[in-house]
Amino acid sequence: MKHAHSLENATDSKQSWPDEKLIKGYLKGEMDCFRVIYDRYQQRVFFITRRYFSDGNKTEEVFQEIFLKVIQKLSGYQNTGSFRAWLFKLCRNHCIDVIRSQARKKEVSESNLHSNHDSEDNAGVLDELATVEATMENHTYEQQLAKKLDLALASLPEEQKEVFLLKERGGLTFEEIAEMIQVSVNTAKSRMRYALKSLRRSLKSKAYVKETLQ
Amino acid sequence: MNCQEFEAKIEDLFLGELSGSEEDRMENHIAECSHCEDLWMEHREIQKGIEALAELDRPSGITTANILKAANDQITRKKFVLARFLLTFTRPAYAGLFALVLTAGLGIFAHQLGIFSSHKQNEIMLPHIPAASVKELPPTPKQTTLRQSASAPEPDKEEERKEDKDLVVIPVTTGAITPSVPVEQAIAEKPNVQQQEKKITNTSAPAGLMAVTDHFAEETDNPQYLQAIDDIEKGNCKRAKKTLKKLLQKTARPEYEQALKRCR
Repeated sequence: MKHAHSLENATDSKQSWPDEKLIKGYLKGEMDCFRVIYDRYQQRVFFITRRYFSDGNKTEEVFQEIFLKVIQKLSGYQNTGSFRAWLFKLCRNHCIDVIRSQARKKEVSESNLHSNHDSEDNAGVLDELATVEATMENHTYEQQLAKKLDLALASLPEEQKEVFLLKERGGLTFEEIAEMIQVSVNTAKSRMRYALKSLRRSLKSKAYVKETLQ
Repeated sequence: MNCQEFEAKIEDLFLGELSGSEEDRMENHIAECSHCEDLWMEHREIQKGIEALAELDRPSGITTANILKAANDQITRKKFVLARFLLTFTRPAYAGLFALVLTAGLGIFAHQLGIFSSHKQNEIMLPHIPAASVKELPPTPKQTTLRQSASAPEPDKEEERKEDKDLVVIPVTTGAITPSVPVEQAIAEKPNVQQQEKKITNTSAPAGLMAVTDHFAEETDNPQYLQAIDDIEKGNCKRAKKTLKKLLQKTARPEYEQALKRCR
């Protein structure tokens, strides 16, 4: 009991530690350092992974694979950039690899990987959102908003969605994103602006937002 | 600021890409314009939606438990890699193998450095002597006589003799030239003597070996011994006996003993 309590205290004291210090601690054998890192990033990594896979079980599987990969590669991790950028790059690359292998197996068509939908042409999504609103009357406002945003995100072109997720959930800078996806910083910023416009249009449907806020 | 300018910069405001003064101007416009305020609220909704969605999207407890277990296993594995490596050597077979490999390694290392090398010792004991210096060794008077007298007859063997010019001839006395045979007879029976000769190339003969063979020749061609043999032949056994006894006191050679027996 005392041991568990002291372990909890040790973990609490490490919450403020920077990522690099936690990694060094974990590599020296301190398991609570890994726990802090995991708690810090698990939700964000899961969020991004979830956006790549519609199936919840597949998301869980891929998420687990990502962290197992992180555990394996941590010993060779070199402190050249931020750990956050390294982690999300690994997450993105693994998700793309899985999608590609699925596409090869004909489980998922290649078009899902590069679904270049025109952001203007989202009438289907709007219809779907209207259906969601009707069926979620008993849900809380946050739940309804979450569901709507989920659908809106799914309708985004892949390259816009990627930048949006890495910026909003990954917390990466435009420079880090640009380097990761091999585009210029301005292109990354531009994609982010387009993503925001598209999402705003999707959420604006049937003036839902304003009414709810009022 | 007008609404058009506001709409152009609203994404930058959302992303925090504007400067402090521009941000102030934008906020002032939001307070003044209800249309742009709605627009801004729509953007804020996106952020709220993401947070709400993130609350719903969480990995299951099983997945988290699996990941934490894997992380723990990885640490444990690392900790015990060295311990397991050391434990391996507690087994006799592995310990023996390790000792063998270590010894072999040290041997190779020592060989590379030239420690314990027998080649150097050999070189010191038997240094290579150039052929010229071997040729210069002066033959004893008796050797010269023997060689001259042995090569005089037998014209059919001339060619062979020519070929042997560059060879050093070492006579081997293993009973062929015995005291019972007169020196003249032994010289006359050249083929027999020749059969007992051993030829070695002078280029490969070391100086030490040459010295030994010369000494050996000197022993058989000892003038006192030859004189004693001569005396026996002439019937002067008393003098021969005396000489041979003296020789035997110096070196106990079977030839001397045989010659002594003949005196008796």
